[in-house]
Amino acid sequence: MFAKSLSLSLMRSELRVMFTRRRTWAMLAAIALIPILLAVAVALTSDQLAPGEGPPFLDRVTQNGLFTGFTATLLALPLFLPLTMAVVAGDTIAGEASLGTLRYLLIAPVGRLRLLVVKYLGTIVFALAGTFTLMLAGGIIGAILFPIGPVTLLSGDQISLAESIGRMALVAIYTAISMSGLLAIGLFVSTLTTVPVGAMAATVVLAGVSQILDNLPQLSWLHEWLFTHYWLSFADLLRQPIELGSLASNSLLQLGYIAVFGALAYSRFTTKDILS
Amino acid sequence: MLISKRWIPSVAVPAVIALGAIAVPLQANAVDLPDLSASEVMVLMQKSEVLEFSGTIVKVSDMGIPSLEFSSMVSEDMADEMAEKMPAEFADFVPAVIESNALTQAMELVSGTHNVRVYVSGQDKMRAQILDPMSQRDLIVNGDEFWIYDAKTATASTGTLSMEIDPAKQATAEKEILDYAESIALDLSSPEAIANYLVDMIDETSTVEVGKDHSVAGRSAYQLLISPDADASLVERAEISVDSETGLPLRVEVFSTQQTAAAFSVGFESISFGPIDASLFDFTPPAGTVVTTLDSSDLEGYADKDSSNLEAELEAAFEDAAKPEVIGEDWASVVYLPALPADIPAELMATELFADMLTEVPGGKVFSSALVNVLLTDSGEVFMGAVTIEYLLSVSK
Repeated sequence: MFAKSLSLSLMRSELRVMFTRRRTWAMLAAIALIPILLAVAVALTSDQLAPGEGPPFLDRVTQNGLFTGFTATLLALPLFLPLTMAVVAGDTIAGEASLGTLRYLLIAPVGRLRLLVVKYLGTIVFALAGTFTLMLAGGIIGAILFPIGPVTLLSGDQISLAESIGRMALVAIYTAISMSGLLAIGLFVSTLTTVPVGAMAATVVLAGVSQILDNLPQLSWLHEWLFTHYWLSFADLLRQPIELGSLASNSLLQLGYIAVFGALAYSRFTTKDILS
Repeated sequence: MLISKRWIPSVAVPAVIALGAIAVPLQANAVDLPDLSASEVMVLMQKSEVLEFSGTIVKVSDMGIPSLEFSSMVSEDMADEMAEKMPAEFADFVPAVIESNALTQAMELVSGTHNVRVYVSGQDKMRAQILDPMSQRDLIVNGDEFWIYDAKTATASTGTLSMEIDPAKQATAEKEILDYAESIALDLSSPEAIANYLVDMIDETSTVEVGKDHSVAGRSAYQLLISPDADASLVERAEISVDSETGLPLRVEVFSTQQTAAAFSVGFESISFGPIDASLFDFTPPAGTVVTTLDSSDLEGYADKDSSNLEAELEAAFEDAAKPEVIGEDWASVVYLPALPADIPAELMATELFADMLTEVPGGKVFSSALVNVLLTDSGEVFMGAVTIEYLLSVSK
């Protein structure tokens, strides 16, 4: 009972610290800028894109503003989203260590495992905040600049406005799940160093390497094991009937990464001498 | 120094995952069904009456030729640019991108992997969805109406299929079949007799066996193995998996003598039987779609034209072209052309992709894939077949 309330208060304070930091809000604002820039750019150009030209869904944005969120997610996935995730995950342990606050955190009767779990859950909350910001900003700017209405799915079927908002939420959740493996890697890297920038850079580099490997046909046997492999498969949620196969595969894969890198982070963090 | 036992999870977790990745597929293959003979399995296939199901079909082909893998983040221009800037040794690492010309589109269909979702309801309602990355192609058949929709280009084609069959023609065809069956003493009313006949036919050139009971798409299945007797054949064996309960063929795989992985495989990854929502077969193209209506008379034109007329027309059109000739028979048959047809190859041979696929052999060049070899001799003759290069060379002499 005591342990549970302690975890809860630790979680609350972790989230309070995260969401009072100016950096967190700056990153969320930057994420929101992606769909806004995209929609404004599309609105200002008079050229109509031919179907199939440019990134997927971009030609549909002018017909239906709700597509802004999907196109923005697609554009943010390769670099921008992983970058913000790496900043948050790389900071978890190394950030406290560099500020010298890690020692004080552990002086309180907080187990190291519990601290790790709370830190990781904090990054997951940020991932959800990031992906929902992307979708929400996309939906709002799309509604202001373009007509909105029933959404045409990849199968050519149309779904109602209410159902489209449901699908947008699903895509946001899917993308947050996609980030969870990367966040676990970031957490582990963060236990290795006391320099947060190093942990952030290493994490974002790993995301890049994984995406490059995923594009080499010579390594096709490896592809389904790469944590970035299903990132772009959120498109499966935009089919009718909805295709949940990639959501299941993605969740299982990310759980595997969470288990492996969570275990590594635990082993490293609980055996490490905390000097600062 | 003693290593802390806190490192145990870091070793145990990957070990458990690795074990799971190996053990789960193994377990899925442990199936034991009552033994059936090859003709009994064929009877099972014939009795198949499943008319309502949905599933995901995966098609994989590994023909031993460069695959055209679609890289979603790389455009054609980018790939060209990469190819220019990279040292020649790294050419293999330039992602291949689907170009828009007909040759590469045809190649795209035969090479690589495709996921297709199918929904079948009754004999006249069907929907197939090719799940492309970030896109989709749909084929919908609903009664006598059909639709083809491509999400990438936002185009659709529609038309009507004529289901009417000329009763007089049908009667003639039926009579011909009956006469033929009588001439070979085959009882058409018995599926067993037909299956036995088919097995005997195949047996003349191949070995037919029932393989190991196994599991396909979560269903227990019988396996028919057909291996060619001809030594020269490139086909090692074909495997047909038949659902033990419904008799529906679940998977077909063709293995080549040249490689261990299946050269071609098409089969269900998942399948479920049961009624399907009828609204799935009602297709209305979304606003902004360019719709082409295929006139039904265009389609019927081919069927109605007198076949002898058509033959004459074809002969007239290809009068100048060399006549193909078949050497040998069954698995070892080789198609012989005195010369390459004049209009096709120039463009084909010019493409770098094609040039890369030709290898030099004494007396000519060979286009080699897992299931087909083509020999272009120095004198311009063409030999092709599902046979080994050595056999092609010996035939050419």
